[in-house]
Amino acid sequence: MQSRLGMARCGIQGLVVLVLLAAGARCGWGQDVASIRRRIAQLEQMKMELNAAADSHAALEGARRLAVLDSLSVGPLRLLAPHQSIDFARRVGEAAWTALRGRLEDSVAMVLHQRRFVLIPEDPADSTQTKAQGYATLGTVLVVPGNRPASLTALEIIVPVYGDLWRTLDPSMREWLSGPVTPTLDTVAVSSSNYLELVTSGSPVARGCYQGRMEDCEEALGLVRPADPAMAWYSVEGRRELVGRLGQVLRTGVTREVFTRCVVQHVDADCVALLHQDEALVPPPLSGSLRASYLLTALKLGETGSLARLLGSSEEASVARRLELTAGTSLSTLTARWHSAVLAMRLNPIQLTASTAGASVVWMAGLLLLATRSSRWR
Amino acid sequence: MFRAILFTQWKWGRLLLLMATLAGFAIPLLSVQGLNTTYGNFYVVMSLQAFGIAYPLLAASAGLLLSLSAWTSDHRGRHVYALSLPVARWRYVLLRYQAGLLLLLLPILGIWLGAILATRFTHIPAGLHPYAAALALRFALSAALAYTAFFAISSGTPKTAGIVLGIAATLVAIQVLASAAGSDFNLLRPVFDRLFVWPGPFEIFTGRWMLLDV
Repeated sequence: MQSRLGMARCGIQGLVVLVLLAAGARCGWGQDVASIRRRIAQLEQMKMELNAAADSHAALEGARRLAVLDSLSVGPLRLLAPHQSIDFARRVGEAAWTALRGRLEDSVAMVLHQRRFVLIPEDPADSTQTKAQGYATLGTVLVVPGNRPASLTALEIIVPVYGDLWRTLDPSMREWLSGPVTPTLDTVAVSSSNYLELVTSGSPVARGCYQGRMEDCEEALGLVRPADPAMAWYSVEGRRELVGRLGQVLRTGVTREVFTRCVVQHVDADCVALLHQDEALVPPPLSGSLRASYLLTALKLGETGSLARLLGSSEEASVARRLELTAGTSLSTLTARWHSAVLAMRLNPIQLTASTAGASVVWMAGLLLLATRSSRWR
Repeated sequence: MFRAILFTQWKWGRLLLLMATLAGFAIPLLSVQGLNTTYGNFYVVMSLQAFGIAYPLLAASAGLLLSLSAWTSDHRGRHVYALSLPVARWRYVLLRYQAGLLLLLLPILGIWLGAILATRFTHIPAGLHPYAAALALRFALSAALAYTAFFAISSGTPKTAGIVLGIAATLVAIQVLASAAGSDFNLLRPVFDRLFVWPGPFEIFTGRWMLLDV
């Protein structure tokens, strides 16, 4: 029916063109312009009526599809799914909501209310997914293969929500984060790779942060910008690495030779000169991932309403002040909380404990005992 | 008698042992290649982490191949040689086991030497530390455990080995059928967890295997 209406729209447009051509031709043997204009106006009116009919048909089709779907809410997360898949949809919703609330607190609801998710089981007979496309007017459609676990489908819900969150943030916050927060099923703000990055960073302020100097943490995260970031944030080796990383931007024109002297001949003065060209290029030594973990810690600490406070503070010039408002506490308290969360994610270098080694020996003894009790008589 | 058994097992498994020893020697050296050109210690650790999977794989392979080579000849000769010996069955099994365990020292030494050379002749970035001995010790225990497990299976009758393999194949078949039927039922996961997560027997194989780490 819809395709017929679409064809009708194209037909009308073609008809209008034909009428115009005919009008031009008829003008040649003297038909009056006023009657042609009236005819065109009639056709325009007809076209609008047909469009309205097509729109109401789409709405009716949406309502019809909605009628065959069950709906459920998990927290502020709204899901639609066929009746036979509703239990699966509930598990998906619970996994997604647990992960979202765990990292972003209840205030993520203000992002979630914009979306509704439609979970449709994959139809092997429908290779073009036309059935799924039909549900697009109802919300974000997720076509779920039969054997996909609920946790993986939950991640498909989390990804667009994080995308919405990223789009909601103002430019200054996005610039500080330097990239979207990675969507995960984790419920913790800080991961073990965050610990690894902090402990392996060669930056003097990052080292100070690791050793427990909170003012160094704030500087390493870019919350406080020193007068000369290249010198304050990076060691000699770090500056050379940074210039190497920024090669595409710095290795042009007259700076080419200076670039070579810095990266190949290790002349620090040239590295400093290159980085002084444009200090906006010098990023804080701790990556966007660690900055995102700081933001997530602030959101968790701020509990209900923290995201609203962050979004509502876009007038504030300082990112540090905004994070204070988000967390509802002082920057030093927030930094201390983040620092202890990062250190808590310490990794064991070689996980060979006495108990593991002892258990292996006991298992070996047991297996050897079994072997000695084998029979030579086959 | 031990010397004779050791010699025969060496003869049957020397090619495999040589390959395992060379691989053990090469893995630590290969893992540190290009570290000096890597930007930042974080990427050094990530690069070494990617090599971490090679150590437990080599330990399991060395254990499996050595245990199979220890019993192949007996199975082929229908245990006539073992029956003709004036020793108890348990003592014969122990001799075979000890000979295999002694031969397993070669790949372990390979890993240890490779790890020592790799850490000695590579510039280790500040903040990272070498764990050559710990890595070699973990490899030794893992290889010995894999060897013992496969040795115990191989020492039994073909029927015993068939039952063990049959159970494994049945579990995999049930899982494949359940997945094909669109079920969320996961049978292999709990089995894997029982075997490889504490206090499972093969817990030593899991976790991070790092030559250099924080």
